[in-house]
Formats: sequence, structure tokens, C-alpha cells
Amino acid sequence: MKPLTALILGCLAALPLRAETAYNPETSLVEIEVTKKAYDYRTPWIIRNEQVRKNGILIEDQQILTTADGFSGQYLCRIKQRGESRQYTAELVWIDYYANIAILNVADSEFWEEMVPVALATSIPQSGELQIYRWRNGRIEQRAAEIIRLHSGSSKMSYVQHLVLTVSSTIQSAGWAEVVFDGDQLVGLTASASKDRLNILPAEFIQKVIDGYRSEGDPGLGYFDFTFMSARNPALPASKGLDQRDVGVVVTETGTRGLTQHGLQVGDIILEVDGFAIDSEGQYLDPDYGRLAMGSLATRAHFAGESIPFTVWRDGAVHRLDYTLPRADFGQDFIPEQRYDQPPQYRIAGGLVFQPLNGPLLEALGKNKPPLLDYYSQQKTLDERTGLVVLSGVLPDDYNLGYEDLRYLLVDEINGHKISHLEDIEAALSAPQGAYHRIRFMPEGGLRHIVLDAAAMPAATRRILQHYRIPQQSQL
Amino acid sequence: MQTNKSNLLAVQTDAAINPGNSGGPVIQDGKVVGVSFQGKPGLENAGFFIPPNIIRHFLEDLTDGIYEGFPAAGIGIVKLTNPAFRAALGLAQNNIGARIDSLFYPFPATHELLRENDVLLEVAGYPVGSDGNVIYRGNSVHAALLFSQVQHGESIALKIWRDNAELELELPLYVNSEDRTMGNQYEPPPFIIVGGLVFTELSTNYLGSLGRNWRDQVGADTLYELVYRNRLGDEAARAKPVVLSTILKHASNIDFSVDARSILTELNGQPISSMADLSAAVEHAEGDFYRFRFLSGAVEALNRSEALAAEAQLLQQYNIPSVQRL
Repeated sequence: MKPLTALILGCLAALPLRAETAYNPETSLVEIEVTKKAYDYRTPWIIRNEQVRKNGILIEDQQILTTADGFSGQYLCRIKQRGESRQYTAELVWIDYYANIAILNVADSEFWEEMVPVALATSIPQSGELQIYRWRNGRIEQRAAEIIRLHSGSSKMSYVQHLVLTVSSTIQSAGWAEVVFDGDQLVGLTASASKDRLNILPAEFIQKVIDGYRSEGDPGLGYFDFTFMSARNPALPASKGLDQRDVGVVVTETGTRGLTQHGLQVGDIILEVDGFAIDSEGQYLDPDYGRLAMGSLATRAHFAGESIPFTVWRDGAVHRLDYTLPRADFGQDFIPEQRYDQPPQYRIAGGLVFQPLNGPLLEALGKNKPPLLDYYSQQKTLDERTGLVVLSGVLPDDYNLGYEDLRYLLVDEINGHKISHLEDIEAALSAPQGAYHRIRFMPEGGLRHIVLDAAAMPAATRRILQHYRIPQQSQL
Repeated sequence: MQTNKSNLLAVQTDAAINPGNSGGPVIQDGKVVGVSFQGKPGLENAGFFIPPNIIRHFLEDLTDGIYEGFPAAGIGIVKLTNPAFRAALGLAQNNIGARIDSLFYPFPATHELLRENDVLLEVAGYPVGSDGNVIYRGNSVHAALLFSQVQHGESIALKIWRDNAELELELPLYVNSEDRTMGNQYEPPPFIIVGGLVFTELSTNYLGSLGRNWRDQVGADTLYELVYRNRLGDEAARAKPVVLSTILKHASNIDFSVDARSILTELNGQPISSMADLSAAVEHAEGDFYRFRFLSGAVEALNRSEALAAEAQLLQQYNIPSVQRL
């Protein structure tokens, strides 16, 4: 290339090609302050408050779009616009923690004056540069982001699979719904950040979730409630009589999340989902976005409750079946992974603190969580139980002398009653064995039996609650 | 968690014991009173040595040419200080007696002679405190340490409290050779190679081979199989899980998609709970494929004729004397 030609091309490349359609964030981007209750599951009766600052953007119908992250436990939400100090109280109109999307509204009509909604992009670019905007100290901060890839990934807030746009950017401390634009098109909201990488909720996914919210009954997002493994080893399909290479994945578990689902069996080789051929890595060829993991097919074009056609190889023959897409629901997990907008549950009896085993409790224990709790937290079912209860600690008192070091023991029985939930404890303690309450823990743990005085328990519980300034005996 | 340690009596000294000192004699008044074996990072001017009674136990054990190790009673002893629990057991509110909370497996004599919630009053004539300790040669030590004073197969005298009465009995003690958490310390590890897939027994030694960060490399289910399932009962305690240790790569297994460190549960429909099960299942395999199922639910397969051909090449390539060592 001649030097002069190169210089001209270089100058052209430096020109702002989209200048005429560049986004002006001043009239649509807002700063959100969420004040919320926060809990420490190790001391579940203590309520702290926290504030989260994040971003939102005006979309149609006087709605402010943001991510659901940071809203759990919220009781006050205030919004600033144009970088001004005035704060408007906002109402949380709708939130979907599974999708990680929330809609806010502001009642004060002044807020909406001269504010301009933006449109969600109808398609997602897969290469090139985007712009990230947010408010910082009353000024707009703008950072460039380079697209890395569009892929199928898990929601930050749940196990739901959906399209995710990953970009790289030098922006710091992001992941709080900073808005991402391609020219004047809203491409998405940031959902999480790690070093210089950001995961973005793409506009197409956001639009679909909002459409669901606006539709009658709000069906919610679906989830493929099964696990599968690659069938790329040709001997694996061949051992099942399927003489094709590089096709399909093998179902290894169904009902993984305890959701209702129909049709699939362990050992099936999934060949097609919703008309798309599935390769041996579990990917399909998306007409818009190329190779994507099949998990996002649950949310790409469907809502919970809809039937999705599957083609599987089973018992040496091709079968076609309709998979009724179950709605994502933490409440169906044997060990619930998350609990949004709910305080931690506990029950104190004679200074013994009982809590249900769930994701937030395990998270509070951090990396050093007891291996046995870790193991049971991964179980899908257990005998006839519908949950597990942990003795998470003991508040020392003369009454429970000798048991003060006990913690993180899984409760098996109290007075001969199997314990699945905190409510079971109440019933079990109402039927002491003679003069005593007898508690048995799971046999694999470090301790099997303890005994407590039944008659003295109510007074001891009252004394301990008073001594430790605990407002209530239980939170169910 | 110390999955590969047994608790034995040790003596603390104010002499610093540093790396390289291990195995050195500890001398007092011209006599060997111990063997130095460990210091502790952060603990200044302190070291630990193995006392004479442990050394004598070791030497006596060796006299028949077979080293058995230190026996255990197979019981979990816990303190018994709660007034309600003492009252429920009919015990006086004093400092005597520790509770047997659970019986471990496989200790058949223990299960025959002892029950959960028996109270240990004396061990080998030493009164047991409610904290589970005995005064042994002027030191307060846990009563379980007395069990390691006798040899494998010998008995120890116990006085217990059961059903509101004292009871004296002689409890035979054994070294639990089935205890995988102790590791296979004195024999080379067993292995079976199937088409380049190297299977071995899940043990503490195996986990140790994964390095210091072994906990990050194995799932909770693997740890459960090694440590916790033992406590469920005799059958479970005797099961010796088989783990896929590594894959010797070959064209016939290059796409095998189950990762190393997975626990094998079935081969060609045959349940696998020990290396012997796997050896038999391989020997009696029929059909065109080896079909594997793992604890995670994952399934995989190898073409059997290709796997057999691969084995011969791999043995030569990696200088392995045979496809199995049990």
C-alpha cells in the first residue's frame, strides 16, 4: 500500500462514522440507589442495611429498566437523573430474579419531563466496538468495549441459561447495569464483571423477558431440567447402536432441579431440539448467532409451559417427544440454591440454633464449609425427606452445657420424628420422650446423640433469647 | 480434617525440631526417651517426639515379622457433661464417665459387646473423666489413646455404665485393615488398565498423590465415598470405591469424555465396588464394548477390540509390566 493511500485510509478510520446517530445518555440514563435489608446467615436474626448503587435506563411506557441484582431485600429505591443531586423515590414495579431483570417507575411527573426513552436493539452485533455509559459523580462516564463473543451462559442470579454477550473493557467496578450501546441502539445491560471482562444481558433476551412480563399470566422462564454429557467419543453412541459420529449428547440425569418435566430418560441421546440438530458438544447452529450451547434454546424462543419437540435415540431407534418446559423455581430444589426477598429461616430451642440447609447458608460458610454439608447440598433427594435441617450452632447456657461446641450437624430425628423442615421441629418438640428431648444427627457426622431436659427448655429458651438480645425464637 | 492421620501419644519439648531433625534420638540421662518427628510452623522453640511406649509397641508388633499397626476400639467417645443427658442415663452429676456416641464399622467385636450411649467409666483401670480424658502418667490424655497401647487382636479391660448398672468386659481391639482413610501405606497401590484407562482404589494415598490442593480437585461425593460412607454400616464400610486415576492417551480413547478422578460404579452392567469387582468384570466382559458408568451419572464406552489392542501398545510405550496389579 502506498504511504499516501494508507494515510488517507487511516484518517477515514479515525472519523466518528456513527457520529450522526451517537447516543446521548443525559436524557435516559439514571442512577439508582437501592436501600435494602441484608442478612448474615451465620447470625440469622440480625438485620443490617446495605445500599447498592447501580444504573437504569428509560425504555418505553415510562419504565426504567435495570438488572435485578442488588434488589433482594430492598425497601427504598431512589433515582437521580441528569447528574443532579435531587433524588426521586421509585417503585419496583416488577422483578424477575431468574432473568436478572427489573422494571422501576417514578410517580413524580416532574421526573419524566424532558426524559427520552431509548429503544432496545433488535439484533446483537457479534464483533466490533460498543460504548458503555454510566453516571459517576454527576458526570457521564463513557468507555469503549470490544466484543469478544456472543454465547449461551448462566444468569448471574440463577441457573437459567440464556444468550450472553461478553466484551472486554477497561471500565472499573462495573457489572451494575451499566448501559451498553451500539450507536443509538441499546444493546444490553452489564450483569457481571471479572477483571477486564464483562457479561452483558443482551437486548434481545431483555425484550423477550419483558414481553413475557407484559403478557397475561407472565409464564416465566423455562429451564431444561436435565444434565447431559458429550457423545464425541464415537464408541459411546456406537455402544447404544447409533452408528453416527459427532451427533447428539447423552442424558445423564433428569429432574436435576426438582422441576416437573416429561419424556426424557437417562441414557437418551438427544439428536434434535426444537428442530435444531444437536452436535456431540451439545451445540446447535443458530440462524442468527452461529454455534451456541443448546441450554439457551429453553429461553431463546419459548416460555415456561410450552412444549419443545425433541428427537432422541433410545433403545436402538429414533423417538420424537414433546418436552414441556418447566418454569425455573428455586422452591423446587431439594436444597434451595437461592432465597431472594426472604429473611433467613431459623428456630432456636434451648440455645440450639436450627436452620434449613440452603445455598445462602453454605455461601455464608465460605470455602471452609464442612464436607458433609457440601455433599448433602448436592443431593437431589434423600429417603422420604423434602429438605434438610442443620444445627448451625449453640448459644451457650447452663441448659445446653457440654454442647456449646456443636455446629453444622445435620439433624436426622428429634424425639423419633424425622426432620425435613423447621416446622417439623415444632411438632417433634411437642412430644418429648419421657422427661427428655432426644436429638439424633445424621450418622456420618461427628456426633450422633444429644439429650435435653424437656421441661426446662421453654424457660431456657426465653432466658437465652433475652441474654443474647434475639428478638424472636423463630423465623419460618 | 486429617484423613490420613491416627492420633497417638506424643511428647512436646522446648527443643526446636527443624526439618532434617526427624528420626533423631531424644536423650535424657543417657537413655533414649524418644524419636524426634515434628515441629510446627509458627510454634517457636517447640518440637514433638515419639515416646518410648509407642516405640516399644512398634518393636513388639514387628517380632512376628508382620507389622499390624496400632489398633482401635471403633467407638466415638464424647464428653458427658450435660446434666440432662447424665440424668437420662441414670448417672450422678459428677465428673466421671464419657459417653460412647457411635460405633464404627467394621468392628464386629465392638458391635457385639458395646452399644451407643454406653458410658465409659474405666479403660484398662484408668478412670475416665466426663471430658473423655484419663490421667495417664500424670498427664491428661484422651481415653482413646489407651487403645493404641495394646497389640492387634489383644483385649482391653473396660468398665461401662449401661441400664443404670456397671458392667465390666474385655474388648478385643483390632487394626482396621479395611480403613481406606488410613491409606495403603505399605503395599504398592493396586491398578487395572482398561484400554488405557487406569483405575485404582480410592484411598488417602490416592488423594495425597493429587498434591497439597487435593481438596480442590475432588468433589464432595468422592470425599464422602472415602470418609463418610464408612460410618453408615458394615456393607458400606467394606466397599472400596474404584477411581479413574488417569487416562493413558491413545487413538482409541482420545475422545473419552469422563475426567480422571471420577468414581466407577458399573462396567457392562456389573456393579463395581472394589478392584476385585472390576477385575472380574473385565475378565468376563463380552460384546463389542466396555460400557462404563460413573458415580456422577456419566456413561462412556470403549470399543473392546480396540481397547485390547491399545493395551498392548500402551504397556510397551509406558514401560508398564502388566495391565493390572491387585
